[in-house]
Amino acid sequence: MNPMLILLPVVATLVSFLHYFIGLTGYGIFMPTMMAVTFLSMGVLEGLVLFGLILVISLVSNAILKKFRLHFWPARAINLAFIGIGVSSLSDWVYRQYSLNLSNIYGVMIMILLVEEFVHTQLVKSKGEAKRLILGTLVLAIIGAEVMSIAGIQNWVLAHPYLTILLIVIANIIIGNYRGMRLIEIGRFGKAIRR
Amino acid sequence: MAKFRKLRQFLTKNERNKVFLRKNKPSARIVADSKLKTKKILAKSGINVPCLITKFSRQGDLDQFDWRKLEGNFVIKPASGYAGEGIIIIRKRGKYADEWVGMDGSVITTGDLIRHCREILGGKYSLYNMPDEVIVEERIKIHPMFLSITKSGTPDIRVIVYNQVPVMAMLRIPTEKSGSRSNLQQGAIGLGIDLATGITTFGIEGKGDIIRKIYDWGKKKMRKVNGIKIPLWREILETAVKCQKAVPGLGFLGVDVVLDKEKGPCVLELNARPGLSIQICNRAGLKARLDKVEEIDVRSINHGITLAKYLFGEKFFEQVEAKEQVKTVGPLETIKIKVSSLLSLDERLKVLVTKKGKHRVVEVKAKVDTGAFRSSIDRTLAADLGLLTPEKILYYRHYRSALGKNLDRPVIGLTFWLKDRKIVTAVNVADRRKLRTKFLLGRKDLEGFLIKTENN
Repeated sequence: MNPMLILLPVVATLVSFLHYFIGLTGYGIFMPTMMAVTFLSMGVLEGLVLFGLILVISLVSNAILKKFRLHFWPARAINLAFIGIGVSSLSDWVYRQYSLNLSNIYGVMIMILLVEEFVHTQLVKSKGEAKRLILGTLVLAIIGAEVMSIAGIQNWVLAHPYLTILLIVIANIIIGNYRGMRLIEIGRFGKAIRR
Repeated sequence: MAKFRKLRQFLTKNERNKVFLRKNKPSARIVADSKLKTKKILAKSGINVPCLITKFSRQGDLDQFDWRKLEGNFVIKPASGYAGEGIIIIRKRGKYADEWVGMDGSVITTGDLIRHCREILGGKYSLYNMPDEVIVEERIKIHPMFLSITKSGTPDIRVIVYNQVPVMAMLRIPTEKSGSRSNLQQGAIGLGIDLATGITTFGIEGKGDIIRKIYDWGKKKMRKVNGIKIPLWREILETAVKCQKAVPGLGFLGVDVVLDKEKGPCVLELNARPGLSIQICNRAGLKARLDKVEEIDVRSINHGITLAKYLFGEKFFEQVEAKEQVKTVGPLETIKIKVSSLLSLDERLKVLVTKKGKHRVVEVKAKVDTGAFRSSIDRTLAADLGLLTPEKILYYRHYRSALGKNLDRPVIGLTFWLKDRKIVTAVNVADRRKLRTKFLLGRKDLEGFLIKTENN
């Protein structure tokens, strides 16, 4: 059995716990989970460097493409071309300079999705909200990746796959029925108490 | 521990999503998500909405439209837009053909407008980039009352309605930082509003930074966030409750009302997922309020609003109401005339002097006479109070008395209190020596009073 397949729902459970009990928020549940698994497979540092690379290329290419007033989809396609060229040429250089391995096509794809979400949120919501969500996604992903990379947990999950699934279901039923306050809401509403 | 008990009054995000958003049926949510559908249904129920000029559902509609028909004063927006994005407001025609002037004076060409509409149709501003429709509608003319608190965008009033009772409200003020949009998420300012009086209470900026002052553009200085009285408050609440009647599937509803200079309250959009920051600028919990109105069988719009007033009104509500209430006066009333603090009175009058606040006053019996326009005071009394000195006399006026005598009477400035209401006025001086009441209350000074001829 592919260990990643069992770890995926474990990460998702962790992410949903952090969301409903603590109040961390990202782009939905799948984005942080996918990112966590990506970080897990290629390393957190490599993942962050790759993400930063794609984000910068995307922002620069968007700023340029805006001037040409193209239709939305062609503009996205050109953006992808920039990302393709940028990542493939820069990842070689990064590998030679810092020996960080960035060549992971699935990682690149998931990060492109995340960056696109970021660009879209910037457009339809606000820059602040987009930044908050992307930071939240990265924090959730890093926590997920770090917890999952603890050898003990990985070994235990692999040794008891069915028990793990059962525990995941139980944990999510509990999380799914939680109506109370999230940790960050205590601070938020605490300000609103009248003295 | 006390803090945790107090925290329980607030509606948490988890509970909103799990319990209260389920009160909004999917079919009704579709209405709320499309500004076009909302507009249609509300207009049918007789609720004011900005007039639709035209809509574009396909590229073809856009090509056929003759932009030269428009006079200006219109808004282009996506039907399923989110958080006020993708909206262009046009004030008037530009200097040349195919040119338009926006709210900030910038020039926009018809080509720009068409390109913008195309982007909306392509789904640039809709959630998940789904294809969308374009709405072209009348521009809301901002109520003069709000001109002093914002430079950019139109402030609106968010009212949360549950079980046909308005449970909480806030004034949302767009700022430059929020890009002229009135969403707190974008950084707009939110001021809590007392449901009973329509007077603002506390303020936040963005989703949670508490503010105590906002900039007053009229006076060019900072002013407190509290104490702004929203005009047409009752009508605003009525409009909000009517919206829930029009779309009953939205059990937990946020209504965004704007005040138009001419049309009064207009509904811009319905929100099926109202935010929770409204609790912070009201410093009150939604959960406790929702629980209070949960079981009540609300019989009418009026009933719902009265419930809100008495259940959720702030403490100052009774003082405000007492002030606004119509006061009743009988045919004979005692008034308190203000006496200059510098004046030394003779013994005869000293007995009559009392204090009202920091002022020295003399109590005088007065007779109500709605046949007279101006009040009049007895010459001797006025002289005793030091009001007849030449510099106190405003002017002389020719009066014809009931007995047919023609006389020039002096008119003097006077401040008095009737039923604790301060009245600053001008009265004429007449000879009332032989009359029992030394003061006559004319109808000019009885404004806002009801006269009851029978004393009980």
